[in-house]
Amino acid sequence: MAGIKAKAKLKGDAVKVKALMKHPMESGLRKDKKGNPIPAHHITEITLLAGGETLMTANFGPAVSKNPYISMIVAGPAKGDELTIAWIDNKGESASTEVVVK
Amino acid sequence: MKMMKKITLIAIGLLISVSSSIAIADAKSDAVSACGAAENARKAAAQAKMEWTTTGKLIKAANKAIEKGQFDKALSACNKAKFEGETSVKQAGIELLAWNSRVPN
Amino acid sequence: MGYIKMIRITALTILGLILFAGAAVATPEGDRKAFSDFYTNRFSDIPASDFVNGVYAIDAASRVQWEQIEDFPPYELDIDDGEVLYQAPFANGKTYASCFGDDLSVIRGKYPNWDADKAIVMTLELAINNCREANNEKPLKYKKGAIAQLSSYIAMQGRGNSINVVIPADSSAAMEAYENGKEFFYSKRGQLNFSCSDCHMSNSGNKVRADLLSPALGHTSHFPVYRSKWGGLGTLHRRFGGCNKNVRAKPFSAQGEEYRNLEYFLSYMNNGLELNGPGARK
Repeated sequence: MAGIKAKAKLKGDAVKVKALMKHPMESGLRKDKKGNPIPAHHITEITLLAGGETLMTANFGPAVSKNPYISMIVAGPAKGDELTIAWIDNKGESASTEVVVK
Repeated sequence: MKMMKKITLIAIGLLISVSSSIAIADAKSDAVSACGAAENARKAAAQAKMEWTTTGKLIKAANKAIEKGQFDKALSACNKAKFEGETSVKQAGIELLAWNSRVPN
Repeated sequence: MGYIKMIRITALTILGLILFAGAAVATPEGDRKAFSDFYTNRFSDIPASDFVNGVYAIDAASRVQWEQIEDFPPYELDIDDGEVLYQAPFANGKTYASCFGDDLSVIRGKYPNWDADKAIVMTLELAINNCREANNEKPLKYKKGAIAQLSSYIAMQGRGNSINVVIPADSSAAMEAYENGKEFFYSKRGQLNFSCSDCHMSNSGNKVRADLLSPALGHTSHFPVYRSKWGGLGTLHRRFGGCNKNVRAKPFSAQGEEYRNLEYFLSYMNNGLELNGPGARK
């Protein structure tokens, strides 16, 4: 599961995909109690794929807060299709999960 | 005469330095005893379960000021803290009888 | 003898004399009804059952935002973590089920209760740590982190059940704990000199700076809570401490006697309402 929870629902012509991603989303601008800067650690890119094809890419930056939630509306996928949501962060870490369209 | 003047000057100098260190010692002991009284008042407030967040902070800041030799600042902060502690105890006494008037019936 | 103690004894003696004289004295059930009526009168188009949603029951604009959040709530990640924590066996091989039983759906609704053996109010979080210590595990801190995640999992499993706090009729100590909680709620405290009731009763629905003051009816139903302000999950006692600090009153310890008694009183006031934790709040 790697810290992404996702749901996908077909409504009319479009699929609404919602994902809650576990991530500290550290902007790099904060300092700890001793005054030392806390290094930036945040998601940089989120990708939504269907059958290996990229449907949508989102660029996230340091302004997004901890454990971000994203909601995407895409046309194309049908009920029963399996979608993949993946993220990569500035440290090169990544996570992904599959979700079936309901 | 020159010798006398020298001795007088030295004596006056000594007198000034002794009296100012007495004054400083007085200022310090005033601050220290005020902070002792403030801490007692804070403890009484804590005992009455009514301590304010501001009281302990004042005493802490005052103790730091004493360390830095800022005795007037410390005295003022501790007098304020003592007042807060005493007021907290009064607040507890008032509330013991007043709380019931806020209950809806 | 302390000054406060003398006044307390005098007040209790006067109360005793009133009781002896047969005057009408408030019972917890009478208190609860008066409490609930206060809010249903103040917010006349809101049924009592809705108050478990706090400000979102009384303010349409913030309700819209909250419903969007509840569509995929931030505490879902914590519930998953809480489940993992709950199911993981202790070093000695036993699990939380050995303390709480196998039926997860009934655990949340059992707390707070009067523990006759220990003669204290028992809360869910205290019971979790008692279970850990009985199994040679280190206790958890009470305001956030693992304790809140475990609590959120148990709360989720207990959703929909009715709040039913009992004050045993044969225990004057239980009644005293309830009365202490009640007194705490209505007593002014802190440099700003506010009681819980000042904000959450007489000023409920009004604004304090940019925030709406929530009604106290329904307060305990939805804990632990994911607060946007905290960027995470926190327990009821964490919130009590924060509120006390807001009026510049030195907070009491989480799971100490004061807050457990307050939880007992507040939860009793919510008897009959539905458990709907964990919750999401601003």
